[in-house]
Amino acid sequence: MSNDRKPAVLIVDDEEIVLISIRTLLALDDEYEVATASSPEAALKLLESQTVDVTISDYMMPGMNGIQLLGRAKEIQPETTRVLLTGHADKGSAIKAINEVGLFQYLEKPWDNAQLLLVVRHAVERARLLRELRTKIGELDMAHSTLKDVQVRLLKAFL
Amino acid sequence: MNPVVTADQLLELQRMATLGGLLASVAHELSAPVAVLLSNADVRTMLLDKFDAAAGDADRIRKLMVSAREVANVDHVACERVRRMVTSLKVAARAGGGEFIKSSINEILDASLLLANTQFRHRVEVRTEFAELPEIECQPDRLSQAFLNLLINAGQAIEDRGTVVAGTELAGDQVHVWISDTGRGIREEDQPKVLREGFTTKPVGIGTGLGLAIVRQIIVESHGGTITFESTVGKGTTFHVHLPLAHKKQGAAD
Repeated sequence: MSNDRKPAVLIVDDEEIVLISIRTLLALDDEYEVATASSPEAALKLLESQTVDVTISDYMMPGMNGIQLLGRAKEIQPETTRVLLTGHADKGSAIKAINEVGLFQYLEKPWDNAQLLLVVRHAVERARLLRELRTKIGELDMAHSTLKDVQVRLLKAFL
Repeated sequence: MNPVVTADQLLELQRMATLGGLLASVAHELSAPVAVLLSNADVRTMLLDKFDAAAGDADRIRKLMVSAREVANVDHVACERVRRMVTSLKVAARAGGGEFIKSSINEILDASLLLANTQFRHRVEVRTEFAELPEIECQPDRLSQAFLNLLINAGQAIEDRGTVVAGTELAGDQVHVWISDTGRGIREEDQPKVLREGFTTKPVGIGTGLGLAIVRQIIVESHGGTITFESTVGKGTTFHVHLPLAHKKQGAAD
């Protein structure tokens, strides 16, 4: 991941009014690239085709619920930070989700804008760190195999 | 001395139970527009600050204008949704005590539909086919209870996804109301029993076997109307309610 691109946030909700409101809020400071999806299917398509740092999903949606969607998101893009935004007064399902699909955060509707912005900021940071870690591990692997090569050649040269 | 519940009290109890059962889904239905209105109130103030800071930067101001318009449009939609829900709640929760008042059947049916649909929104598509109707003398509180019972039944009959259509038309000196679903249908051997008190095929906690008996009581006994249905297993059910345009006072006809 290049560090100069804007962090990408995907919002998923079957309510157009929620999508527009959160998109407007997140776009206020021009900090994020905001994408929206009004169905889980549309969200999965997006996740398959472009890098997403944070996925914020509603819980109750037709076809697939938010927990299932975020589970799939994790498979497609393990680095995307997953946030559940729900108006469902069911804390149990949220806790289940946190355990099952490794949710980063759980937000309730109505949400608090300041809290939402803070959660997104931290979520972006988490995704960035994960991607960086992946790159570093790759580099380490590369360095390790180079070292091995050198070692083999050294041994060959001396024995 | 008399512990027996009167027919009117039973109706009122069932009405309260139905409305109570809808509370959670109605609250959930309101949560999105309310969340949006709250958030946008805040965003609007933030936008004003941005406008201040953007003075002179035409491009930035244009962008902010787009956001401001979007927020305004969303607020309008959200307010309209809250308004419709509140209106429907008022229609359904109106304490009429069974009084006969000139009322619009379409309005009562539409309100019942909006409330019932909060339970099935994600899997049931709702269509209305309303004709223009004269207002009729009826018990709006009782009729809304009858329609709610029929509509909730229709939604419950649909196992996964399906459609509920509610329609009205003028049929001679009657108003014809129909509610059809693409649900599982009623088995032929059950059909003679469904309008009877105490009959249900629903699990305990879902059906009491009172819903349709109460519908029959409201439509037939209180309003002098008729209720019929046709049903095919696996295809769906349509209930037809016929209500007289002019209400005959009970007991006056005989």
